[in-house]
Parts: sequence; structure tokens; C-alpha cells
Amino acid sequence: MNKFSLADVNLWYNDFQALKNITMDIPANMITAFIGPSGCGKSTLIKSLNRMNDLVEGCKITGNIMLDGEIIYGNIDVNLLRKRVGMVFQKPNPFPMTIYDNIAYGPRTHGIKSKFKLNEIVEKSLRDAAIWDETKDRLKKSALSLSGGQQQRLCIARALSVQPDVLLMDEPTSALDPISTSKIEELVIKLKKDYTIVIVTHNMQQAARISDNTGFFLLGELIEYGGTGQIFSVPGEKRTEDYITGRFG
Amino acid sequence: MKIAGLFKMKRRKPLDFVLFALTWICIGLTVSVLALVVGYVLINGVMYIRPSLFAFQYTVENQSLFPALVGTLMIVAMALTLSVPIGVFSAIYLVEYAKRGSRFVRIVRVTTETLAGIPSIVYGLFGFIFFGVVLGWGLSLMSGAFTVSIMILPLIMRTTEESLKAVPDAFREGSFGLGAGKLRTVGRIVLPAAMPGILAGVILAIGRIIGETAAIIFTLGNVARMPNNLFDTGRTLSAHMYALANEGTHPGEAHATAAVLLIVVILINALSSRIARLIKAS
Amino acid sequence: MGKHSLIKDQLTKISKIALIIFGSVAVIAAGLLVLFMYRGEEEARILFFLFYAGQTMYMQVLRIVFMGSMLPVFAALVILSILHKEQAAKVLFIISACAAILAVGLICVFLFMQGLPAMVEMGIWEFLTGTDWRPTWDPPRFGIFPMIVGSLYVTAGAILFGVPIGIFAAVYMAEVCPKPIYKVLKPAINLLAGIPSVIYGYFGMVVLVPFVRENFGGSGFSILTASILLGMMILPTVITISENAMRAVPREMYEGAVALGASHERAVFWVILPAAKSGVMAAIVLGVGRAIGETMAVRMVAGNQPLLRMPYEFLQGTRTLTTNVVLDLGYAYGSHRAALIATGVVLFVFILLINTLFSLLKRKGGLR
Repeated sequence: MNKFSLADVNLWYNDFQALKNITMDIPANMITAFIGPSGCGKSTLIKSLNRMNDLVEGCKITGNIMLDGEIIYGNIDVNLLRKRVGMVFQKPNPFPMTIYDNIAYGPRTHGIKSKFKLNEIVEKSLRDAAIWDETKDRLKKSALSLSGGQQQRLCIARALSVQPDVLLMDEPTSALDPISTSKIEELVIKLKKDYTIVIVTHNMQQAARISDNTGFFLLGELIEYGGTGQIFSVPGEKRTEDYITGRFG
Repeated sequence: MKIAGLFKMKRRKPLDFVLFALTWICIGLTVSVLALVVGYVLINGVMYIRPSLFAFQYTVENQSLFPALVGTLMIVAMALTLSVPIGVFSAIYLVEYAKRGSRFVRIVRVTTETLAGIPSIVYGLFGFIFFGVVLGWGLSLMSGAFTVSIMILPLIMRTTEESLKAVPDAFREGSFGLGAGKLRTVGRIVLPAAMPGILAGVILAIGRIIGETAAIIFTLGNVARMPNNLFDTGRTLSAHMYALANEGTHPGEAHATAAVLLIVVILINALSSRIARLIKAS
Repeated sequence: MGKHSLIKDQLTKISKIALIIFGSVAVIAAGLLVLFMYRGEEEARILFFLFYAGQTMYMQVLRIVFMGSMLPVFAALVILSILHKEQAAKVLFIISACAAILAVGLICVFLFMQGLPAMVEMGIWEFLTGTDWRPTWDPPRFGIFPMIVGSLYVTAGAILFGVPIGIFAAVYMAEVCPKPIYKVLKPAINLLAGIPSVIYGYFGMVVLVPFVRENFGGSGFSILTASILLGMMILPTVITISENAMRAVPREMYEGAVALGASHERAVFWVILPAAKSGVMAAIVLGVGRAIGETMAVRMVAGNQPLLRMPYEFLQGTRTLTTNVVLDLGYAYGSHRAALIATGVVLFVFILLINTLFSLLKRKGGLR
């Protein structure tokens, strides 16, 4: 079953065309990785899946993006879309407040006020993000006191707190050390059961290790898209092969 | 300066040396101006500070600054009530909502710069005409507070703008990514993060109000008594100081009042720069 | 779309209609009331604050209509802003952002409205170039030329004392000062800027005036005293802005000069300072603005005689545009008051010119 279907997606930042005729389907409960050199449009594409590009001045998009068969660039509530499609950013960005408040911010935004329920959500989200044991004794401490890797898992927990269907991850480990990275990779594989995950990564080994499907982007175009095993062993395109084997990028 | 150290070996030309010596002399002069003013006022003033100066009632004998202190507090409170919300809200609009460099933003920028450059006597004149005469409020707390609140508006706007801009976009993205609307993002994430900077600006504004004289005496008036209501006249500490200095009949009290005023200003300055330093550290 | 949003839509619609109907009624009524006010109905002035039994029936009716329609308008606004928080907040922010524009507009309109007619009546040329300020004569004479010249004298004096010291001190702050000393000096200079002008004025009165009297003669209340005092007062302005200007010069220019064999001193004075020229000019211009606009301190040390002085009479007293206003405004009425407001207008125009020059230079100097 497909979670997202994209058809002929073009995107411009003012006069610069960042995405060209992207057509792809993203299956549910799988990990889809976007790879490609810097400036190839992979981050732009992931940001248009929850309309974070709306925040960029001069951004214009055409074509069709559907989430569960519903057009997301139509007349829908963007805030509800972003609740369904959570996002984890390149650099950990916990809010400057306590760990508890960081996690409770999302549910509170969507109208949950009961203290009991919030406690429950906070615990569940932190457990799901595999950071509960490290934080349960210091929920009232500032989130900025955590280490970088912990902060990123906190941000994953924060994204999970609003019970999304999809988790978008924009190079979530690029700012982290190898140990934290492997912890997050384990976590992502575990989360696949309940969430559809789209991950942008610079690290090809990472894509090979964790993803089910991989899309390779170059200069705003989707060059090749298919099962990760196939892309990495028998790429159909010369350019994909060159990139994967490290001849450029 | 570190690079300079590497080149210390180079031969100094006499002219360069003279110019460099001049920088030392001039900074020395600047510091001695400060030391002279602060030192003179404090040393001569502190010994005249006595309890009668803070008597509840002002009389010709005691020259109490207490009514002026109350008037100052009231003007500060009223002006901040008017100016802080408006200044913060407009800064929010400029930073968070408006398109960068749009026509409206440019007009607001130019007018704010204009407001910042207008001398206080012109504010006094305007407040006297508009609030005092046209609106018929006369010499009153209302006229004074409204006039002063326009005066500090550019200061509050600029400091708030700068602190909002200093809040990393990552916070905003995080909040929007969770499905929060703009208002919630600004109110719950951006404003609290910018709060120390805004506070430092507000404290600077308080300093401006306390030090203000020319705009006060023609709007609030300069009568040494407790204001009974918002449309009653009074005086502030600076206006009190001005009156004392001009009358010249109570030099001791004038010295003491100057010292008190200066101490208040120094404390406020210290507080503001302390907050500014905290922001830099974090 | 649930039941909840249906109710919301209905409420929105009703509130909008109410807002449009009652709002336009209130605006029309308020407009008519203001019209009455300008026809001389003094009581209309307090229309926004109190119910007041006006003298004519029209006004009473209008007032009731106005007050009566304000209530539903207010209610509709409250309902709308609860239902549409995001839009309501945005509108609130936009309105706030207009406050600065409104303030500048009001200041211009009321100063010019009250000052220009009087100026025209007296004759603009006679007003600006007249050398007699005799409000008590019959007929009174209002010439502000001595004050214009007085303002120029004390400002020029302030530049003479304040600018060289300020610029050299700024060089020290930007290029010489070791970091630990900087940490002490910076707050000190900020404090210098924060000291109220009455304190400066008082200091001038009790220290500088006797000093000038004893060392140079005269009464001590003089152009010279005011110049020294203003020079002290503009120091922090000149220092801070020049320092920022020098810090805004790209580091490569300095490094390039040093790499060519220039000493640190030479690089600072022959490369960085010239490169920061616009910014330093901006600092001087802003200092001029401060000096021209300063009132209380000048009032306390300058002697305030409304007499035309020659430059060599720098030990005599003078009166500036600002002090002219502050001295008489408290008791003036009629044409005297109008002449004071006109003085304010002249000062305001000076300041507007200086500010424009300042922002041009600031932009050129790459200062924020």
C-alpha cells in the first residue's frame, strides 16, 4: 500500500527550479531513503511532503502530492497535515524548555490538557524513542542539558508524541557521532513497524543498512528509484553507479 | 590584535607613535569625564542624603523627593503598559509576519528611525499641544505617560526585533513541524526564547524615562505633590532635580537628589548590561 | 466537517455582518462628532471617555448612536477574535506596527498645523532672520536668528571638543584595547550615554561654570561652557558608532596592509580609519543631532540671553532653539506660544535633515 503518491512534482525557489517532474510512490510501513549529492533536491522534496516549504518565501510548487489518496496541496489544514506527517531535522532542535515540556508541546498544541494523559504520552513517546531510561529521572531538567545524540532522540520522541503516520527525517544523524548514529539507526528500524519513514541521508552505508527502498536524486531529478538491494547491487543507471561507488558527489 | 602582536618587531614611525599615544590620552579623557561626573555627584551628594529627603509629604523645608519618586514610578508603569505591548507586537509583525523588505516594512523602519532621532523637547512640545491642549488632558500623568511612551517606542521595537531575529529558525521549524500554528509558535517558542533581550530593552527604556526631563515638564508638569488620579499633575525625579537646580535655594538637597537619581540610573544600567551579558553567554 | 465547525461558520457570519453594520454607523457618528468638535463644540473632546450631555440635540443623539453602536462592534470583534485566533493576532500585530507611523504622522501634523500658520503670519523670513526676541513688547517681536546662531555655536563647539576625542577613543576601543580592559570600558561608555541630561546640566552648573568663570572670565554661563558640556555628552554617541564602523571594516583590509609591511599603527590609521569614513561621518552627524536637540543641560549652563553673538563672544551667554522653547513654553499664550511652536518646527526640520543624512551615511558605512 502506498502512503504517498507523487505525480509530476515541480518546485521553484523564485527562478531556480529545485525539483523536476518527480513521480514516485512511497510505500507504507517501510523505510524509504533519498540519496544524492548536496543540492540535488532531496531535502527539498522531503520538506514538501509536510509542506514545510510553505515557510520559504518565493517557493512555488506544481503537480500532485497525495497522502493516503488525499491531495495535500489543496484546501486542507496544514497543521493537521504536519501532525500526521512528523519531522526530525538535520540538527537536533529541542526547544529551550524542560524535557517534559518538549514532549508535551505537541499534544498540548493539539488540545490535550489532562495532566494524566500528558504524562502517559510523554512516557510512551520517550520509551518509543528509546530514551526513557536516560531521562525518566530528569524530566524537569532543561532539554539543552542532554548530549547531541540524546537531543536527537528526544526530537524523535517529540515527533512521535502527536501520533503521526509518517516520520520524515532530514539527515538526522549528520551532526552526530558514530555511537549515537547507530543508536538512532536501530531506533529507526524498530519504528518501521508502526510508522512510514522517509529518510534523507548523505551516508550511503546508512541508506544501505536501514532502508527498504532508495531513490537517487541528481540536480532536482529522480534518476533512479527501487528496492535498496537492487539499487546498491545492480544500479540501472550509470550515474547512480558512479555516485554509489564514490566517483563523484 | 593577535595578529598585531606578531608584527611588534616592526619599526615604529614617530607620527604613528604620536597618533597611538593620542588614543590612550583620549580614552583616558573619556574615562575621566565619567569619573568626574559620577564621582563629583556621588561624593558631594551622598553626605546630604538624610531621612527627611524621603518624607512622605513635600515641604519647602525638607524638599522631599518622595512625591517625585512616586510620580516617576507611575509614569514608568503607565508608559511601559502602553509602549511594551505595542512595541513588542509591532516587532513581532516585522520579524515573524511581514515579507522582508516589503514597502510597509520599509515605511515602519523609516518612521521608527525618525522617532528615535527626535529630541525630547520636540516630544514635550508635541505632547503639550496634542495630549494637553487638543485632547484636553492638560498637565497630567496621562499626557506625560503617552508622550514618553511614544519616545521609548523605537527603543522597545528595535531591541525586540533584534532579540526575535536572534532566535534560531530551528525552533520555529520544530514547532511548525509538530503542527503548531504561527501564533502558538510565536507565543510559546519564539517569544520566551527572546524574552531576556526584550527585558534588557525594557530596562533601557526605563532608564530613558527616568532620565527624561524636557518631555516631562510640559506634559506631566512639575508640581511637587502626589498625583491623586490619572489626570492629575505631578513630577518625576529628573524634573524634581531640574527644579531644585534652578531654584538654587537648597544646594544640599540638590546634591543629594542628583546622587539618588544617578544611583538609580547606574543600577538600571548595570542590570541591563548584566542581562545583555547573560544572553551573550547562553 | 463536524457540527462544531458549522456553528463556528454561522457565528462568524453573524459577527461579520454585525461588525460591518454597527462599525460603519459608529464611524459615521464619530466622524460627525469630530466635525462638531472643529465647529467649536468644546465638549465633543471628551467623547471617547465620558457620556456628556452636549448642548445641542444633534450632538446628544450622535453620542448615543456612537456609544450604542460601539458595544455590538466590540462584541463582534471579541467573538471573531476568539473564533479566528490566528487572523485576529495578525491584525493586532499589523495595527501595532502602524503605531510608529501614526505617531510620526501626529507629530508632523500637529507641530506643523500649529507652527506654520503662525510662522506665515509673522512672515517666515522675518521670523527666521529677525534678531529681536521681544515677546513682551507691543507689538511683540519674534525673531529666532540669535537662537539659530546660538544652536550652531554650541553644536560647533561640541564637535570641536567631542569629535576628536571621541574618534581617538573609538580607535582605542576598536583596535588597541586589550579584552579585559574592554570589558570594563564598554559598560562605562554605555553609562556615560545613560546619565540623564539634568545630571550633566547640574554638573555643568556647579563645576564647569565656576571653572570657566575663574579661568576665562565672564559669568561662566557661556557658549564655551555649553560647548564643553555638550562635547562631553556626545562622546558616547561618537565613540560607539565610530567603533562599530571600524569593526565593520573587513579584516582582510587590515591583514593586507600588515602583509605589505605596515605596522599595526599604520594599518589602523591609514587603512581601517579611512575605510570606516562613512561610518565615522555618521557618528559625527548623529552627535550633531544630539547636540542640537539637547535641551536641559544647555538650559542650565548657557546663560540663555536671546542676543545675537559674534564668534569671539564665546564667553558670553547664548540661547539655543531648544532652550528658547523650554524657557517660555510654561507660561506663554497666544502669539508667543505660537512663536515657540514655530521654533520647535524649525528645530524639527533641522533634526529631520540631520536624520536623513545620518541614515544615508549609515547605509553607506555598512552599519546596522
